[in-house]
Amino acid sequence: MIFHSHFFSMVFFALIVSIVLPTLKEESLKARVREGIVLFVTLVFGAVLAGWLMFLFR
Amino acid sequence: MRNSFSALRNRHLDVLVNRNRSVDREPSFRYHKSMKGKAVFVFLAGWMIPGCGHLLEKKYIRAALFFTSITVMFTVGLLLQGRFYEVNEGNPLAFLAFVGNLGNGLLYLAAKLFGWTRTDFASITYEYGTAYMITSGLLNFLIALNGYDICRGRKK
Repeated sequence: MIFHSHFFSMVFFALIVSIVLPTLKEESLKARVREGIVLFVTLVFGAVLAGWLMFLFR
Repeated sequence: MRNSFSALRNRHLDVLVNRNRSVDREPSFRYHKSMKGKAVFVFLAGWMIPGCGHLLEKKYIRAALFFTSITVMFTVGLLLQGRFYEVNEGNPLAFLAFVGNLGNGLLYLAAKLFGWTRTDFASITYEYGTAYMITSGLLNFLIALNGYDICRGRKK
């Protein structure tokens, strides 16, 4: 079994999605890189933020 | 005087209408109607083998990127002991998850045929594994559709 860390699993998931989706959507390399970074940061920090919000209502 | 004004107005309207028609006739992308059969083949190839559609369209870097991403994602999902959904589980959401799994194409079929599935409901990574495999299938559908669009000339 790999990825015992849930956080690392989530980061790896966000990384692959951030590679594939901008490559499909954008035409230029610059736009792909920019959108990929934005998507990756949004996914990771969004998940951390949602986790803390759920912690408040435990 | 009145007639000449009316004629001028009609001519002006004709010019406007014809200009709009000419815009309609010339879309910004090249639309290949005759390529539909090939485009369907590209879609099916891309569905069965991730990135194969882009390979057929000579988009080699994208094809390699997609093949690597989807294969790694699916393999990680397998190693995380994710779940394989069946077609007849009686739950509409489970059916949608089955469609997501099916998006992996030959990877899914190979995993079923050769018994690579290691589903373990008690595993702490089970949920992540399931999410990985469904997401890789759905992404592969998008990739195959992108290959279809490239073949039809809708995208570069």
